[in-house]
Amino acid sequence: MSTQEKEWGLITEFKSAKDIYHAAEKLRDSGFKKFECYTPFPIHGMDDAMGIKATKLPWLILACGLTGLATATGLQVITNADLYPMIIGGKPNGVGSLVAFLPVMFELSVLFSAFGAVFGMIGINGLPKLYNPVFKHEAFKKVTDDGFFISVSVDDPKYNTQKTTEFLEKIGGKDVTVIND
Amino acid sequence: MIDMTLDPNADNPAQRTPLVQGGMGFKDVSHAVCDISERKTPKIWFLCLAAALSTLGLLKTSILYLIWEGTGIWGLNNPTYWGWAIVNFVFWVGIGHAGTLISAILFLLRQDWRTGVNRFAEAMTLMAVACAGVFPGIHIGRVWAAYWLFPIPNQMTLWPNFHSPLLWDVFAVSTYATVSLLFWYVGLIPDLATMRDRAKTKYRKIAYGVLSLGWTGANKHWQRYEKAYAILAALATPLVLSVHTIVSFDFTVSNLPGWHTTIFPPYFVAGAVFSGFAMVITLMTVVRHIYKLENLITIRHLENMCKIILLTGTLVGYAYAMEFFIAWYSGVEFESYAFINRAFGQYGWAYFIMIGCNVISPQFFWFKWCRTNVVFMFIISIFVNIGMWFERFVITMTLNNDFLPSSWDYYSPTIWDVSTFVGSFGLFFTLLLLFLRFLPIVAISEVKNCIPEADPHHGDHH
Amino acid sequence: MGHGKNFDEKTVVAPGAKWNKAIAIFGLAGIALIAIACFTQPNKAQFMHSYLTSFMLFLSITLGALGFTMINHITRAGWSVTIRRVQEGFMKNIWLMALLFLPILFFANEIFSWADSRDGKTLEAELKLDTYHFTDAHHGHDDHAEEVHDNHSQDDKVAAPKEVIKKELVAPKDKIGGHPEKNRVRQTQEISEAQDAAEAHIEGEEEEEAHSEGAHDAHDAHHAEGGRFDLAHGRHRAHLEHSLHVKHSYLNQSSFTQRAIIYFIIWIALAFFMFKKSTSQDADGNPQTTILMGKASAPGLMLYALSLTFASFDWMMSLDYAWFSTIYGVIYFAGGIMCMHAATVLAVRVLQSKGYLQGAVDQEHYHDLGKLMWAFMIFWTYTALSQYLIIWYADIPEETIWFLNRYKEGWLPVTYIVIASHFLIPFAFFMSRHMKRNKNICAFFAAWLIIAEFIYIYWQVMPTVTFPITTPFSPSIADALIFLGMAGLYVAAFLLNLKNQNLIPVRDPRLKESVNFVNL
Repeated sequence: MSTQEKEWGLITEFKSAKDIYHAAEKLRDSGFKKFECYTPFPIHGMDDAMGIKATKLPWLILACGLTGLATATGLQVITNADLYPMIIGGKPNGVGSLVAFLPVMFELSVLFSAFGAVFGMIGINGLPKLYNPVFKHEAFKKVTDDGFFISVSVDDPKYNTQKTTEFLEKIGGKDVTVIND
Repeated sequence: MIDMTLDPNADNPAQRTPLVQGGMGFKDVSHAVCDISERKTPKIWFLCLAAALSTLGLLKTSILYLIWEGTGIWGLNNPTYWGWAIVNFVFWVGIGHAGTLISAILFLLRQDWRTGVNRFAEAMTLMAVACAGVFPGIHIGRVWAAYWLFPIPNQMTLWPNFHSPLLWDVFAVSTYATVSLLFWYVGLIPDLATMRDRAKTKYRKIAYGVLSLGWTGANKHWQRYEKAYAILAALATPLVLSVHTIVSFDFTVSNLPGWHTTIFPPYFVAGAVFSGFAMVITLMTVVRHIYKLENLITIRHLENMCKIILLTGTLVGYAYAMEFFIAWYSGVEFESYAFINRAFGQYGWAYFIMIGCNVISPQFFWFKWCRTNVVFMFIISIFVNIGMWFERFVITMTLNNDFLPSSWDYYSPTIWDVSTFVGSFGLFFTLLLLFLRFLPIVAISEVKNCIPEADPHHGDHH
Repeated sequence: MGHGKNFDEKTVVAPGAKWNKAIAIFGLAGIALIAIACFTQPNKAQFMHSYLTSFMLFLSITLGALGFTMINHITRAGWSVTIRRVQEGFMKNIWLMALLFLPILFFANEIFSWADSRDGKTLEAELKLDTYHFTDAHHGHDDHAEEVHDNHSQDDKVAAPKEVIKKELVAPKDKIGGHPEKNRVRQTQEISEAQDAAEAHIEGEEEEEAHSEGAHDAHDAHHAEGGRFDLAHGRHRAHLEHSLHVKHSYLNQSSFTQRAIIYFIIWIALAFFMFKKSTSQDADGNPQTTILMGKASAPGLMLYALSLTFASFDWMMSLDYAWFSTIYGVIYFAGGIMCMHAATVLAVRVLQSKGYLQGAVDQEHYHDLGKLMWAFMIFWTYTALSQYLIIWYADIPEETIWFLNRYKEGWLPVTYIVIASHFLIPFAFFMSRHMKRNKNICAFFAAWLIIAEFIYIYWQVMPTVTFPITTPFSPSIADALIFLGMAGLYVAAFLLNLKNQNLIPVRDPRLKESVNFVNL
C-alpha cells in the first residue's frame, strides 16, 4: 500500500440540473470518456448526454429469476414427488400437481430476481465503497442536497490538468479543484 | 397561458398541480425531512414510545402465556380452530399492501405524487408484515416446532407439503417481507447519504455512512439504480398481488361454502389495498401535522389516496355483491345458506359492521369536501380499519357453521385473544416510532425529482 | 418533459369522404363472409355458437375501449391523449355490437340450453354425433339407480378417446363417472313432464320449508329422484335440473332480453356521451369538458363494471347454466382490455402506414400500449389461473366438470394452445422493452393476442353446442369466416365513426403532454 498521494482528477460544481446536463453534452462532444456527473437525484436523459450505454443489469436479473424458478421447481418436485411422494386430496402426484406448485415457483422467481436486482446493482456500482477520493472535496457534501458536480479522471486520454481546468471553467464549472488520491 | 400559481385543490386539466408546495427548493426538501431526526428528540416521542413499549409488553406477556398454557387460552372451539389469530394475520398482511402498491404500481403508472408518501407507506408495510408474521408463528400451538414451516426434511426425508396453501403462505409472506425490505432499502440509500453528509456527530456519521454504502450520486450509479428500481417495481407489482392472493387461497382452496369462491383472489387484493391506504391515511394525517410536512404531503396527495380508498372500497363492495349473487345463482343450498347465515345469522351484526365500514363509509369520498378535509378523512380511515378487521372476522367465522349442525358453535373471544391483538399494535407503533426518529420519512431524492427545476429542459421554450 | 416535439397537423384532420371506399369494401366483405359462413355451416346451433364466439371477442374490444377511456379520464391520464380518439372509435362501435346482438337474441334457443327447444334426436342428426351419446336419450326420469353401474359406464378419465368410450369400459363401482344417458334436460316431452313433476314436488317442499329448516331436503329430494351421475360427463342430472329450476327466474327468455336491453342502454349512453363530449372539445376547446368527462367517468365505471359482469354471466357463463364462478366477469374484463390495446396498436399501425397520425403517435406510445397489453395479458392469466386453481383444488364435481369437459373430445390440445398462446409465448417473447418499442413487433403481438383471446373464447363457447354433452372439437371454416366477416364490419363501423372526426383530440388540454412524453 502506497501512502504517496497522486493526482486522481478534477472536480467542479454546476449550479443547476440544466447546467450540468449541457456541460455533460459538451464534455461528450469534445471526446472526454472518463468523466462522471454527480447529482442529488437522477436526471432524465443524462445517459445520452454523457454518452453511456444501457446497463446489462436486466440480463443478470433474468438469470437470477430463472435460477429461482428452477430451484422452486426442483425443490417441490423432488421432495414431494420423488423423495417422499405425497398424494394430497386425491390429486395426481408430482408434475400432475404442477398447479399446486405454481405459487412457490412464482415466489422464488421473484425473490431471486429481487436479490439479483439489488445486489447486482450494488455490486456493479462497486458499492459499498466507504472511501472515495471525491469525498475529500469539502463542497462535495452538497451533492446529496443541491449540488451538481462533474469529475474528470486522470485516466481520460484527453486529460490535461491545465487544459481540462480551462475547458471546465469555459462550460460553466465553478471552483475547479484538483483531487488527489 | 395558464396561471402558474396553482391552487393545489383546483382542477385544471391543462396544468399539473405542483407536487411540492410553498415554493420549496432542493435544499428546503432535504432540510424539512432530515431535520426531523436531527433536532432534539421531543418529549412527546418518548411518551409515545413508552406507551408503545408497554403495549408491546402486553403482546410478549400474551405470547409467553400462550406458549406456557397452549392455544386453549383463546376462544377456539371445535369447528373454529382458526380464531382471531388468522383474523389478525390477514388484517396485518392486508395493511402491509399499501406500501408496495404505492412504491411499485404507482411508480409503473408514473404517478409522481407517490413520492411524498411512499417511504412512509413502505415502512408501514414492513411493520405491518412484522406484526402479521407473529401470528402464524404462534397459532400453530407448539411454537418451538415453528421451524417445521420451512423446507427442512425430517429424518425420514419427509418434507413439508408443498401442495398446502399454508406453506405457500410461508413463501409468499417471507418473500414479500424480504423484497419489501430490499425495495425500501434501495430507496433509502441516496437519502441515507443525505443524512450522512449532514451529520454533525461522530455516531451519526458512522451509522449513516455505513448504511449509505458510500453513495456519491454518480450518474452511472443512478443509471443502474434506476434500472434496478424499475425492475424491482415490476417484480413487486405481481408480488404484492400474489401475497394476498395466496392468503385468499388459504380459504378458497377448501370446499367450505363461503370460503370457496373464485372471486377471492382479486377481492382480497382490493381489500388489502383498501385497508393499507386507510392505515396510511390514519397515520399520515397525524404525522404530517406533527412534523409540519404540509408542503411535501399536500392535500392533493391525501385526496388521491381517498380516491383510491373509494375505488377499492367499491371494488370490495362489488365482490360482496358477486358472492351473494353467485351463492344464489349456483343453486347450491349450502352456498346460499352460508351467505344468508353470514348476513342474518348469529354474526349478522359483524356482517353489517363490515358492510357499513367498508362499502358505505368510503362513499363519502364522492364529495370533494370529504376528500379534502383532513379530520374527516381520518375518521373514515378509522372506520375502514375497523371494517376490514371485521371482514376477516366474518370470513373466518364461517367456520362456526360447518357441515355438522351438532358442532355449530359461537366463537367468544377471551381476554387473551384481545390482549394479543392489542399487543400487536404495540409492536407496530414501536417500530413506527423508531422509524420516525431515525430515518428520512419522505423520499428526499424522489421528491426533488418532482420539482420543476429537476428537469434539465426546465425553462426551455418550445 | 418538454422536448417540444410536434405532430403533423395535416395527418390528424378528419379524412371525410376519403374513407368511403374503404368503409364500403370492409362492410360488404363483412356481410358477404358471414353470409358464406351461413352456407358452409348448415348446423344452426353450431353456427350460432361460432357467431357468439366472434361477437364476444369484438364486444370485449368495444367494452374494453369504453372502460379504458373512462379510466383515462378518471385518472387524468396525459400520455394517452393522442391515441384516445382511436379508442373512442372502438368504443362507439357499440352501436354495431347492438345490431350484431340481435341474431343472438332471436336465436337464443339455439345457443343457450336453458332456453332450448330442440330435442336430442334433432341434434344427433344435425351434428352427426356418435350415436353413443344419444342412445339413451329417451330414458326418462324414472330409471333405476342400478343402471348407474352396470350400463354403459366408462372410466371417467379425462380426454378418453372416443374409440375407448365406444368400447364401453366398465367403471369400478366407486368411481364417479358414467351413465351414458344424457340429454338436454328440457328436451323431450317425457322429460318436461318429469320436470313438471319435479317442480310440483318442489313447490310442495317450499311449504315444508316455511316451517322447518328444510333447505337441504329439496336437494336431497332431487338426489333421490334423479339420483344418478351422468357418468360419461360427470353431470349429476338432478343437479342440472335443480339448477335450471332455481335459476328460472333469472335465466329465461324475457328477463334475458330485458337485461340485454339494459346493458346496451348503459353502454350506448356512456359511449355516445363520451364520444360526443370528446369531439365537441375539438370544436370549442373548452377545458371544462375534460373535467366533466372525468366526473362522469366515476359513476360510469360503476355501471360499466356491473353491466359487463352480468353480460358475461348471461352470454357466456350461462352456456353451461349449472356452472358458476364469481370471478368470471373479471376474466372477461381483463381479456377485453388486453384485446382493446392490441386492437389500438393494430389500428394505429395501419393508420400510420397510410400516412395518418404522423408525429402524434410515436414509439413511446407503442411502448406504453405494449406494456398495457402485456400487463393485462398477465392480469388475465392471474384471474384465469386463480379460477382454475381454486376449482381444481377444491375438486367439487359441479365446478370441475367445466374444465373436465375441456380436457376431452379433442379439446385438450386446445386447452394447451390457450395456455401457450395467451400466456407463455407472449410472456416470454414480449417481455423486453425493445420488443414493445418496435412498431412491427408490437403489432405482431397485438394480432397474436387478439387471436389468442379468440381461441380462449372459442374454447369456452364451442364445447357447449350440445350442452350438457361436450361437443367434440370440430373447427369449421365458418368459425374463421364469421370472425373475418365480423372483423370487416367492425373495421367499417370504426372508420364510419371516425371519418368526420379529427384522429386525435386536437384541443385536449393535455395534448402537448401526450405528444412529448417519454418512458423511463
